[in-house]
Formats: sequence, C-alpha cells, structure tokens
Amino acid sequence: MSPVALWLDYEHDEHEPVRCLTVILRTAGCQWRKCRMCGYWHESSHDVTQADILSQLRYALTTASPKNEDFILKLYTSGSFLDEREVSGATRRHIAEMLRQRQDVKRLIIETRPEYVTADALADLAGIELEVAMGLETADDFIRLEYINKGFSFEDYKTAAGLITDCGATVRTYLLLKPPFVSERAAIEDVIKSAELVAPYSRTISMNLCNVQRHTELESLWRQGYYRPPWLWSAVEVLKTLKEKRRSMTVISDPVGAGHIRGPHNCGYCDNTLKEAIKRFNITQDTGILKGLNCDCVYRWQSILKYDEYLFGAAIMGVVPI
Amino acid sequence: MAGDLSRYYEVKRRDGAARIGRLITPTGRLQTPALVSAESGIREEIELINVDSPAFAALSTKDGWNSPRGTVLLPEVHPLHHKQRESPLYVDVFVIGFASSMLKTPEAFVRRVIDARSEIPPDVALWTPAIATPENAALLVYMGVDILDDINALIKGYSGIYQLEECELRVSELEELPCNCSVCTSTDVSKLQELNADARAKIARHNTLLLERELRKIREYIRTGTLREYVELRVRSSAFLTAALRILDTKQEYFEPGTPIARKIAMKINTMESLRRIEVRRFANRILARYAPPAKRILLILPCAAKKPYSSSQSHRRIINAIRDYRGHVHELILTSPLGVVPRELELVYPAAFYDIPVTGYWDAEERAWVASRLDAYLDKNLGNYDVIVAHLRGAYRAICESVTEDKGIEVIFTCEEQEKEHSEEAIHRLRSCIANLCATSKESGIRTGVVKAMADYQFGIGAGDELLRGSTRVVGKYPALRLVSVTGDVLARVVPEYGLMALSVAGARRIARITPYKVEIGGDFIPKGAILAPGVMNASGEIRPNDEVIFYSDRVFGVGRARMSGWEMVESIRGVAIDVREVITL
Repeated sequence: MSPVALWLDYEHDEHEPVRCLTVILRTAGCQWRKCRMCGYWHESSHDVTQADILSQLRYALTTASPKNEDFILKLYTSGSFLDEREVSGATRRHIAEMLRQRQDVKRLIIETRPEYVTADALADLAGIELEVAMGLETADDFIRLEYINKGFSFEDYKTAAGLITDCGATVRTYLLLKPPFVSERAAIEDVIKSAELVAPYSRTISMNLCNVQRHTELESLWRQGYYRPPWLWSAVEVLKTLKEKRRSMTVISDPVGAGHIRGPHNCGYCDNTLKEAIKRFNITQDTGILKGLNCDCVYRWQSILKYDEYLFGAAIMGVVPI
Repeated sequence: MAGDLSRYYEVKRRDGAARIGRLITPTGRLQTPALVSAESGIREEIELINVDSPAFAALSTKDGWNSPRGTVLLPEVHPLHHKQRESPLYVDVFVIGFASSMLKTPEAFVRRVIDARSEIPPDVALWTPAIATPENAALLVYMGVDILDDINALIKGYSGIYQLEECELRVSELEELPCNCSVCTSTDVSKLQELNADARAKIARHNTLLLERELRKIREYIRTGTLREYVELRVRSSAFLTAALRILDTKQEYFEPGTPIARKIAMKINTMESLRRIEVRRFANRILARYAPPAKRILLILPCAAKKPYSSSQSHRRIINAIRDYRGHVHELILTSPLGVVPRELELVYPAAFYDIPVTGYWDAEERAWVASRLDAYLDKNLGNYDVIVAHLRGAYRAICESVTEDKGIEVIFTCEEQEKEHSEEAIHRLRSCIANLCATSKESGIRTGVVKAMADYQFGIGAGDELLRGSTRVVGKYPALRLVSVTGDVLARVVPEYGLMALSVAGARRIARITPYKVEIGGDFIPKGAILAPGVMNASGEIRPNDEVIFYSDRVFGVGRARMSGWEMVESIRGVAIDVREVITL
C-alpha cells in the first residue's frame, strides 16, 4: 500500500529554508471524524496493518528523500500519529529507530489530536528532534466546539502542549482561517487573537486556509450558499500582522487550493500572485513579500470587512465571480 | 418560538404579503419597507441580540424592552438553530441570517422568507440583509420583507459593479452612464472606471441611490395597490426572479389572507403570471362557492367588454336593449379572460369591474384552458337551472364555449356569425329574434335586486342576500350606485362601485349577523369611535381579508366597519388598526 501522498518542498527552519519531505501515511484514520470541514478521514482505510504503515514510510524514504542533504520529515496521517489505533506504539518505536539510524532527518514533525498526547507516546519517539503539530484551529472554545465541532477544549490543548514541551519536543499549532459560520472579519480577528494565545506554547504557527473538501458538512453548507472560503487578502493580512507582532515566531500557511472556488480565493486574476507570495513568505518569513500586493478586488475585500456587522453571515454574490 | 408582542413596529397597510409599516427608533421613525444604510448607524438604533450572546435570554421576557430590538433567524443548518426556538422571543425585528443562501436557487429565495414569515408574528419587521438590489427589491417586499439595506449596493460598488434596475454591469464595460442620478450626472464614465477607492465609492453611491429610488417606488405602489403589476414587470429581466415569482404563485395559502378583497384600481393582466393572481383565483372560487344563479330559464353567454362595468359598454348596451323585454327569462353570463365567467349580477364586484387585459382576438392556450375550465365548472354546477343555452359569441369565445359544451353533449344556439361584430345590426337582430322565439311572454329583468343578492352572497356568504332582501325591501338609486332600503326607509346596504363592494349599515348587519362569518368580537371595555385597534380584538373570523366589510360586537356595542387587516392578523397582532368603524350602536 502506498502513502496517500508525498512531496518534497521547503520549510523555514532556524532562519533558513530547509528541504522538507512530507509523507501522508494511510492509516485507519481519525477516530473523531466530526469536524465540519474535514474530509481527510476519507483517505483512511480499515485494513491498513502496522506493517503496511512501515512499508509506506520505507517506500517514501527510498523514493523521495533528498540525497546528501539533511531534511525535515513531516509524517502525517489523516488523523493522529499518536493514536494507538492508527499507529501503534511498536510501529512508532520502529519508525523512531529507522529515523535515528538515518542521521539525515534533521527534525520529525508529526500531527495529533491532544487527547493522544501522553508521556508514553512521546517516549516512543525519544532521541529525535520532534515537533508535534496539533490542529487547535482557534483558541476560542465556542467557535471550536460549536462551529467546527472539534470536540476538545483550549485547556486540552494547553495540557498536551505542556507534556510535549516537558518531553523536550516543540509544538506546532494549526489555526484555521474562517471556520464555518464565522464571517471574514471575525475570522481574521479570531486567528490573530488565537495566535497571541497560543504563541507561548508554539514554536511554529501554521494557518490553514479553510477549503471545501468533498463529502464534508462544509461542502453541503457551501453548496447551499452558507459558506465562502476565505479571501487570500485575509490570509496575507493575518500573516503580516502575526509576523510583525512576533518576529521570533515562525508563521506559515500552506495555501492549499488557493485560487480555486473551493479554496481560499480572491477575484480570479490575482490569486496566483498572492499564492506565490504566501509560499515565498513561508520559507523566508520576510513580510516585505506580503506588502505592495495589489489588485482591483482589494476594494471588494475591504468593503466586506468594513460592512461586516451588516452581513449577518451573507456573502455577496453577483455577476463577478467571488 | 415567536413572541406575541411587538412594541416598536406597526403595520399600517397591507397588500398580499407586502406591508407598509413604521418602526419607531430612538431618533425617529422609519417607514417600511425601508432601505437602511450602513452609513446611518442603524445598528445602533435597533439592538440586535444574537443567540450566541449572553443577553439573548432576555429576549424571552418583556422586561427591559425600552427600544427597538431584534434577533437573527438562523438557518436550520446552523449549529445554534435549535437554541433560538427554546422560548418565545419578544422583538420588533427579525433578521434572516446567511441571507445570501437565498440567491442560490429561486426555491431557496422563496422558502427562507415564507418560512420566516410563517413562524414570526405578523407585526414584526423582517430584514433580509445584504442581498437587496434594484432588481430584486420589489420581489423581496412582495414576499413580505420589510427592511432592506444598501450593503449589496455598496459592496458591489466597491467591486466595480454598476447596478441598474434590470442588470448588473462591470463598470469597465460601460461606454456611457445610463443613469441620471446625482453621481452619474456629475462625473463621466472614464472617471468611474479609474482604479481607486474614490471611483469605487462613487459607484457604490450610484448603486445606493438607485436602490433608494426603487424603495420609494415600491412604497408608492403598495399604496396604490399596484405592487403586483410592478413585480411582474420587475422580475422580467431575470430568469431567477421570474422563476421565484412563479413559485410564489403556487403559494396561494401564504398570500391569500393578506390580499385585499377589493381595490380602487384596476388590475393589469399583461403577463402569463397575471392569470395566477390571487384575485383571479379567489373570484373563480367564489363563483362556484358563493353564487347561485337566479331562476331564469335561458342562459345567455356573452363576450366581455373592455369598458367596465360591462353593461356600460356600447356592445353590452345594445345587447341588453335587444333582449330588454325578456330579460326576466334570460340569465346573462359573461365569458372573459382571466376571470372565466362573470354573471351579470356580479359585474360590479372587484375584480370583475376592475381589470384590464390586452385585447387582440388572440388567446393563448393557457388562457383558453383556464377560461374553458371555469365555464365547464359553472355548467357542471348550474346547468339544471336552465332550459336552453344561447351563446352570442364568435372567435375564440365561441371556440371555448363549443369545446366545453360539445364535451358535455349540451346543445347551444349561437346567434353571432364569425365575420360580424357582436353588436352589429345583423347579430343584434338575430339575438333579439332568437330570444323572442324562446320566450312566450315578456318579463322584467329584476337585475337590481339580483345584483344586491348576488353581491351580498359573494361578500358575506351564501344566504346573506336572502336575509338582506327579506320582507318589503326596495332597491333604489341609479345603477350602479344601488341602495337597499327597508320598508321603514332605513338603508340596509349600499353598492360601492368605486371599490366593487357592498357596504352595510348597522340595520343591514343585524339581518345577516347570524349567518355571516365576517364578524369580529371586540373587548367589552370600550366603545369604538374611529378605529378599532388590534389589541381590542378578542376574536375574528379567519375568512376576513383586508378591505372586507365586517360586523363587530361586544356585550355593549354592535357595529360595522371596514377591515384593515386579515382576521388572522387581528388576532395575532398587538399593534395597528384592525377595523375602520363606519357605524356603531350601544346595546
């Protein structure tokens, strides 16, 4: 069985771009499966054995790891790497052993829901420079529980972050720009506020730009006109603000689906320019890249923010694609 | 979920689901349907408390309700939807949340408003935020929306979209400015096309001005009773809006209770949607349910006339004159689109005397089928009343008549040739001799009492006519301004040709009070003078429509007046005039 996906790109690491191999392992998938925007669990499979997982990783490392170069390995599942039901302790220890022997893996990044973060699970990965990513999405419990349906609290996250830090690993926090039922302006404000609150726990803040995945509740909302993905202007605005507030923190955002109607998008003309700018910013952390971007549609975006309190959740539809 | 009280909003006037109302705000009065502006700080004037706010619980009590307040109606898909239905809400305004979902399909456009209106009290204002355009504003108001805003106009403007009543254009595509608003007359197209915030603000201003003008027109058309005509005109530029109107026309139960029973102005039947108007369907239903033809053995089917009432037209005058001596034997039934069949006795009622339709001699298939179905239903019910049917018809009228009667195997004598006009010498002569041959004796028409009886039955229910005419009553006055007078000289009822209605006196009302449902029970603690307000109504018949003639009573008083709202609204509303009192006596 092959991984769900694997690709090679760069990550900003200690002030410079470093090669990064991302591997999405196919596992039994996320046990929670209730987040309104998430369709990742569709990538899971019931009959994945632990041996399969190891062979997926071997395949990825053999075919795709950079030659003669240290790299970051992002080892994600469509769920939680620390969930026993997805990746067993034995498998984790096996993976750890495999990576320790390689020497060229500079850092391992895994992702998990906070409830699976335990000292024992972290101990499985001892001896590797580890970053544990958690999809907190927002520091606002109301938005997370009611609108995203994430099922855990900010407290749960903080507890897990404490455990991670205690084990000598670092925390990467995923924040979600524009969960369902949150307006464009409120979404921007929410990420900025959330970033302030998670900064003390996080080495990296990564902002996910909400996109409409197939066979999700969000897709149904979107089809019925109850949801519009975030503007790329909003993403740029948040990245700029966060970075300028906290120079030392790494702030990134992978603009997945940018420019598509289901993904974060502007007017259709400038989407690519903004997407490339965000990608360059991720690697360089230079906010200069995010300044001086311009397009006709910025007036539309600005007015949507300006009149936010009169929208009551409405998007503005019309002859021009939005 | 709905509260039963609205303190700062009052409906003044209704037409179908559309209303003119007034919202009292801390700084003034807002006439609805209103265009509220983002720039005017209306959010400070109306306190909107959402279900996620800690203050939301306070909306379930009347305490602290010292200024207009409202809440957002969340769609069913919203996670907090269920929370807002937990207890009644005392508010003046409901805002439809996520309103842009209405623009996804015509079905959604219709459904969100009708669903909202059906669950909130009648005297609460409804606001559809951020979707109003000059193009859809009339239809939104027609559906029952009271508050629109300039958000769509502003954001579209900032997006470089130049709005017109019938479309939206990219400003970059314009060659000239097809508008004479203050913005468009003080700038030129190239200035509006510049890429800067100032140019965009100007487009936003133009869009807003256009929408303001549209709202003024809409309010005016509610007052004149012509909003339906305006909506039929407005939706024409968009398949979406036309589809929405057609869907709305299947929701008779939603619009019928608020549709006035009569108006002072003629309906314009100029589109295929006009055939589906409430007024048309209501008339057709009442012809079957509330009309019994007089005992006359000859049914004479006649074509309609452009001039109303028909009997005042040249063609009908000649026809009436031709059969004058035998009119007591002849029952006249007028075949017409879109009303179907109009008995002579009801030619004065609204809408029989209040419609205009383009006449070319061409009838489309839907018109033919509809009118034929009305004649068919009429004959099914009343055929036994007649010995013989004469039809003074030609062209499409004759074809419709034939299609119906041939199916039924009914013999009809046609007295008009294809090539001649109905009121030509030859046709009139043929009609006269035909009728004379069928009648052994001459007989007076009795049309004046027939009109009074038929109008009373039509308006107050079958049997009301007989009750009014009981005893030695007389019909006096020059047709059509007839008055029914008792033996003691008291006026019992009057035909009001200006409205196509019959008005009652207290004396007349007493005669029919037992049998008519058009009654309103009012509180016994007051003697009404000019108007009865909705809170004074204890109970009202669900049959009552705006402009209906109604009887009101309590332990202390009995009177008659004109309904200003439907019976349902009288019971459900806490504000507003329910009845304009005409005559009242204390018991």
